Amino acid sequence: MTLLEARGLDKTYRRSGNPVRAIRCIDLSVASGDRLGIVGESGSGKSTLVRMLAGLLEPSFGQVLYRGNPINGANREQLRELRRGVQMVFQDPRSSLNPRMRIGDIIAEPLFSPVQPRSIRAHAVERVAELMDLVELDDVAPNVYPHELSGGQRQRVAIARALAPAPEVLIADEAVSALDVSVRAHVLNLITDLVATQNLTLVFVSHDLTVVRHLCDRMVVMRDGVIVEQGRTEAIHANPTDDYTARLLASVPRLPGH
Amino acid sequence: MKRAVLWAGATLVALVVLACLVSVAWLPTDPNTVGTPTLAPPSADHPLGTDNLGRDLAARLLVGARSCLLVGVVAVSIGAVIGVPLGIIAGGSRGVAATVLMRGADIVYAFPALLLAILLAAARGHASTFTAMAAIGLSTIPAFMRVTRSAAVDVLAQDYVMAARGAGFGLGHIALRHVLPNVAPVVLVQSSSAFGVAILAEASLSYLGLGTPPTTPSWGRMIYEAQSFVYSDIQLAALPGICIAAAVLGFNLLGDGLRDLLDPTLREITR
Repeated sequence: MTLLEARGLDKTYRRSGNPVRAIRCIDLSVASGDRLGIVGESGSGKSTLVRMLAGLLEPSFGQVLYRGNPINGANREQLRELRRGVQMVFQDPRSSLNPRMRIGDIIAEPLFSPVQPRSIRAHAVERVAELMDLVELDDVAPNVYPHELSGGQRQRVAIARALAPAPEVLIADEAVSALDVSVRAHVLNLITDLVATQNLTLVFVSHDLTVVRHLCDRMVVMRDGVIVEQGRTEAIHANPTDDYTARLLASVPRLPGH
Repeated sequence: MKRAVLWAGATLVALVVLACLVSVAWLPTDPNTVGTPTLAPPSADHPLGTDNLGRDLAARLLVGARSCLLVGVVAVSIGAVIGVPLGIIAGGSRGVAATVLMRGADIVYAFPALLLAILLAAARGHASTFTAMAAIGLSTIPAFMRVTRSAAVDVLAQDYVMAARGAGFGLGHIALRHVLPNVAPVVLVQSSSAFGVAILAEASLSYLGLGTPPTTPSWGRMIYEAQSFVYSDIQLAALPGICIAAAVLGFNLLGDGLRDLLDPTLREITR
């Protein structure tokens, strides 16, 4: 079943008064259980695209549909469904976690959202403990502030917050790019496990092709706001049809003998 | 050095607050009792001497600290309570709404507090501490709006605000839970600076007869009343002048010290 769908999506920003077309007429669909990777260089429009898919940014033209219903002009119930069903993890946990909130409150925040049933609030403490356990933060107290944690731990807090409303789609926007290489593998493995155990549909944005190959079964290659290639990850890696994709794949550093 | 500024400011402010608290609990004599001797030098009965009407100078200075703090607290509260929410709204607005709010702030900013005090006094039929507090408070709103808006724009661009929106929260929750706690440090610094400005404005308005009425001792009015004796009894004008300068300097230094303490970018530079 198609969960998220982009139809003729277009986004134009104004920068210093001049229009900049970040996304150009994109069609894309994400089915339930998909693990979709979106790759491309910086400025290719990946983040803009996923923010529109999550309903956090209005497209200039085109439509985003969640479970077949357009987000633009959605009624209150449809919007609630979107907010409950689609959650995002951002690139830099330093700016995605409020520095003046304790991590327990950060993780619990979505449970107190007006789109959630009120009954959920009574079990917020237990749910936070469960989520912290899930993201392997069981040895961290919920009353510490984000600055007291390491980069990897902070990103786990961000993942726990995204999982709090039990979403069906998790959008990770360069979720491991800001982390040290040593921590990156741990967080990637955590996301892989969570996708499997929580039955998540994953949209994973990255400029790192190796990471996408490890995590995603389908991938989309973007350049200058346009999808230049899409298909099965292994098929694209084996036989890229677009020049840009081929150059991207060729630029991945390899150790001798690999 | 940075901490020295903070401590110097905090000490001066603490002295003003202490004077105010002492005046509530104890006074050498009633500050409004007229009698003899007039223009007396310091003595056991009158630690700082008396003025031209024989009123105790020390008692009047202590009670003057009350007016100074009262006007500061009320004026800064008016400025913060109105200016901070408007600044947050302006920070979160786009297009016409943001333009109307900020240009409105510019208009109020261009309107002198003195003129506002005269208008308010005329509207109420007489000048009072209330009209001075209201005029000073209203004139500090634009400064609060500007600093809050600038900080709110930064906060609203953070991903944790995006995450809150994604979780289904509206602007009210985001303003209270995310923006307000993160703009609080700049509001605190602005409050401290505005306090100094308010004290100076109150002293100026009282000096001009547009502030605290003659029955309530105020440092500005004490300078006004000492004008005729400035060549013979300089202490009558100098002592309240020193008090005003110390209070204004104290709040300004405290504001600077707090800014240095709370602004992480400045902290990095000094390392």
